[in-house]
Amino acid sequence: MRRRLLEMGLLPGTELAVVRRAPLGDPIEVRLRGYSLSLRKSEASGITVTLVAQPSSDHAHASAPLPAE
Amino acid sequence: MSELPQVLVAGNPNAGKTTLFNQLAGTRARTGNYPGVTVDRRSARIRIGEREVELVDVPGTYSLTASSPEERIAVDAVLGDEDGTKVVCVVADATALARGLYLTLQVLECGFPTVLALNMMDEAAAQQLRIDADGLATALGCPVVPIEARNRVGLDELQTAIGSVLDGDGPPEPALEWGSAVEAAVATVAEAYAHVEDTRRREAWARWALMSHLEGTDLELPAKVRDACASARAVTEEDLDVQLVAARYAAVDELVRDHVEGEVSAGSSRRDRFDRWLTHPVFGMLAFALVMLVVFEALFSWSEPLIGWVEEGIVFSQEMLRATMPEGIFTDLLVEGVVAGVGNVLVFVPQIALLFLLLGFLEDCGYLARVAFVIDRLMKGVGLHGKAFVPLLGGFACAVPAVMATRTLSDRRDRLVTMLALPLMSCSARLPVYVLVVATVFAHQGDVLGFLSVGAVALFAMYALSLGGTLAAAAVLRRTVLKGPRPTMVLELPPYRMPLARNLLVSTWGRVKSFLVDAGTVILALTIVLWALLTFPQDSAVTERFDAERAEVTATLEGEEEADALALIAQAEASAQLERSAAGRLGKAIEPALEPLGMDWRLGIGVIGAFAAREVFVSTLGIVFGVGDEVDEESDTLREELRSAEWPDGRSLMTPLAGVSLMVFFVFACQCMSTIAVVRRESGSWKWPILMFSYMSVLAYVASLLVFQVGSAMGWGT
Repeated sequence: MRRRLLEMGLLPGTELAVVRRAPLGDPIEVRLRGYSLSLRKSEASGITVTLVAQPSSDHAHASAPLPAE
Repeated sequence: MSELPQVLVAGNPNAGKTTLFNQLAGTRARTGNYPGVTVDRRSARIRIGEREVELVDVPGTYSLTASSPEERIAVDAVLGDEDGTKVVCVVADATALARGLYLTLQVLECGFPTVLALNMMDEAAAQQLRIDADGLATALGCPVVPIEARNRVGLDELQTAIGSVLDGDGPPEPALEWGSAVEAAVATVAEAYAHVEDTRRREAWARWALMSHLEGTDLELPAKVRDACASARAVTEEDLDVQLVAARYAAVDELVRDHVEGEVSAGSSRRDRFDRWLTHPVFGMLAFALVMLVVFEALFSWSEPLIGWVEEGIVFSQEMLRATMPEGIFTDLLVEGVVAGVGNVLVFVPQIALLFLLLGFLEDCGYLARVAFVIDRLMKGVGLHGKAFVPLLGGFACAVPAVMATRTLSDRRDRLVTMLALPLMSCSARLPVYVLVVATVFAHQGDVLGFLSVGAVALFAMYALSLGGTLAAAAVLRRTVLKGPRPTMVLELPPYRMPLARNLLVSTWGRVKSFLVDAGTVILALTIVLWALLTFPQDSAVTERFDAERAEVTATLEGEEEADALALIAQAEASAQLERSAAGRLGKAIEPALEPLGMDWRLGIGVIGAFAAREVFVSTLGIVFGVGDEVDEESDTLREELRSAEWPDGRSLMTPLAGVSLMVFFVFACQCMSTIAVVRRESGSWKWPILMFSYMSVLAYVASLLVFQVGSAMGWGT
């Protein structure tokens, strides 16, 4: 899981945007490096982010993705 | 391996790899299998310049790191050091270049001649992205060709570029700053790959092993390699995963910065507009329901006339054969065994073709990923992937195309869980059995709550039971035999694109063909075996007795009366012969086991016959009860016979309770050789269909036993 996210380009310092939630609340859609990824909330919970732009555009910095698996 | 130089078409999923392959291969594509796993290996012999080469479609992958056997194929294909020439053509989506470049760097690390095809340049241009291909080529040290695969733009240039590197020395090694920790680890692990002569490839293998060595996966790394990885990781505090990936992405980011102009992450407004509606809490669910309704409708209704034609064609050829061939056992074999078997195979083709056309459309246009996105929350509870929804839904129509549809699941475990659980969905072939039983035992019962017939309630209960059983089975399989890392929903949501009819037709035809060849032969063989079981041995005493009766009728009666009497005799004879056949004897032999379920040997023969296809239960019972095999579930004569059937001690056979018990048995039992054949084909071994047949049979027996015994003890419906 963690390696997969790393290899898809979600590295410490990568800028990402949370675009939307699925109709049933989970998973969420995240945009990074020009493409979109769906992630369950449980899978995204290991990613620490800091806000780099106002929530309207929802840009955030990812830092060290650390899901357990 | 073939002696021809290989040109591997590799790339990220959704980068247009298959489109490019189809365009280059034209009609010369052949579909085979990678050894051991059931991932299609598509290849084609094509000409590049003066040379003939083998073009190979490598499974889509985001990186040359493998966490599943399927991804391992891509790794083996690219990294594998077979003799002979090899060129890797990496297809990258120009609108999401970074990820494509990541894979490209990994390929370049291996040192094989490489060409980068920048696909979807038209979309990139529409998004105001300008990519300097020549600059990229200089920086990477390999040809970079802008193409639009679907519009056939740039393909000649691409072929020329492939030809130009065919006999070259390969690209220079990308200058990546791995850092000392990674380099030390790679050096340690590379020692375990001492047999790989090429230094560069040895190190590439080592990096691959470092990233792929992961506990709990199915990958079989040699113990030596595993130990080397463990000791390499043990000596450092550094995060090797992050450093390995970050080194490549640092190079990728630099390439993108230097050679791409424009905002990469914008995304198109069309996509946003679609997604706003298609994943909307209300309209998104409505759209989802609508799309699924269409899939359902196609499998049930659109396929019906097509299936009808197939069946008519089979009946027609059977009648032709009967009319032209001399009577006898050989003709019987041909008509009831071979032609019926071919029919048993062909009858699935309409549903398979329709399902794969629709599924291919949904996948290529990008909606299938949204299906998973929308429904995942409900599916994950039982340990299924969101994408498993369509195959499960298909299971209501027929398990055979549904099992084949599990191919959209990329993870092997997800796929097996779905494949093994979905035959519990009540397919349309179970309906005739339910209808016959309900009409037989509940016809004269009163209503429930004044407006629902007991039969309708019973029928509904069977469907609810099957759905509950399927989900429970999936949850149990996921926690027992197919235990493993939790399935993830790390899934790309690709841009919406118009599917290419050509791609849909090619992939659908591939599926149909592989079904006909691999599953079809098993189904044909089983049909013949089953026919033999239901036919042999024949008792000559019975034949003589009925011949005598026939002689008497011919002597005493005439005209219509004679024909009617002869028909009755034929039915009685068929029933008597069936009773003495291997299947009849088997039915009698297992009667002690069936009796606690409320079934006698006659129903037992029906169950055995139903293995050909569940609806055959009805016609087999027709023969057993001497009313002929032309009956269907609406037949009043068969219902009457069943109602009046008794145990030797005079108890009634088909009580309401026995009927429910029989239906419950059919809900769970894997009475379908075609499902078994197709699961064998799709799982790649006999192990999984045997497991499926066993667990479903046990489940069916126990559930039916419980119903009948508890019901009898409580005095219900006797």
